[in-house]
Amino acid sequence: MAGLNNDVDPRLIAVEHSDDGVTTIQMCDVDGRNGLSEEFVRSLKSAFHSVEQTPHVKAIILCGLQDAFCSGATRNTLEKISDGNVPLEELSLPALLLNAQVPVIAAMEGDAVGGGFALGLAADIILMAEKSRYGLNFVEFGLTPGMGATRIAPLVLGQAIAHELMYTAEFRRGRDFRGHSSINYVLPKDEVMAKAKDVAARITSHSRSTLQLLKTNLAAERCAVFKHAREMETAMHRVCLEDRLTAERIRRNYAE
Amino acid sequence: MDRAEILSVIKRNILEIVEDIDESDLDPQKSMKDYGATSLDIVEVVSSSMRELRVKVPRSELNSIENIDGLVDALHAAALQKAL
Repeated sequence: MAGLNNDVDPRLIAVEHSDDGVTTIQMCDVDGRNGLSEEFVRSLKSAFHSVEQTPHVKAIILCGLQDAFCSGATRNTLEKISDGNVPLEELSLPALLLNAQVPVIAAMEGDAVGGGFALGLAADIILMAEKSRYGLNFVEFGLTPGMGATRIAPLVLGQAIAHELMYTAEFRRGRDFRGHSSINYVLPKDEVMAKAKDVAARITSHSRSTLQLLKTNLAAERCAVFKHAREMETAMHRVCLEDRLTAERIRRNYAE
Repeated sequence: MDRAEILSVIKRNILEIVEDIDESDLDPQKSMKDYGATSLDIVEVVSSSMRELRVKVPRSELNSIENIDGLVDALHAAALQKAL
């Protein structure tokens, strides 16, 4: 494992480049269960930026821990949002995947919660684990969904499932998405990474310039949708934050 | 609604929600984590049980609970409070 950028904290994010053009960005904060703390977000951004400066990369695999792909905003981040100090960097994270020069494969072996799920859904190829849980539980904290989830989730998961996840704040297992959405693979957990590597290997047999051109084209619509979603979500967050109960809901409902 | 009824609802939800659990007779003195429950499993067991029992306890009050018995106590107290 070798990060090209010193801003990547290896305790939080591990970056590995392979000779055949696959870069694996692993979210590996065991203690924080890959929660989106300020330090974590900074490292993740730096990892993606370091990949941009690596000329031979043809595909990126974004993965997490076996039991936690990404657990979304930390309590501290949520409280900052409720204080009106909206950390824009956190809320724009999916743009890292959408704007990456090459295709991004999200290998979501572990649970993906809230913003963590929104992050994975911004990938070009998506893998889930049959028994892991996935949810967009923003409303539990009195907040409307953010990180582009309001528009990207219906696009990827299908409107019916995405709406139910966002309205109920409930979680579904990976197997529940099978056949109802644009998820590439739903597999037993211990097969997810191997399949992600297999897909990456099949991508990297093609020329980088062609892949870059195609990525830009295939992501263009989602980039526009994401931008529009963020504008609307920011406006909704302003309204939510006028409700003084939002901070209280975060305090009461955040599961440690 | 007595403690036994609450315990039976919680036990049923644990058996339904926690994957690969092979014990049909759960020990209330143990934590759900002892049976391999993840934090999201626990959230779902608690939410499902509260929904079924029609009681609500803030998560912040549940974070310090150490075993299944503790959860029964918390939901029982909420049920008694609601009945007042």
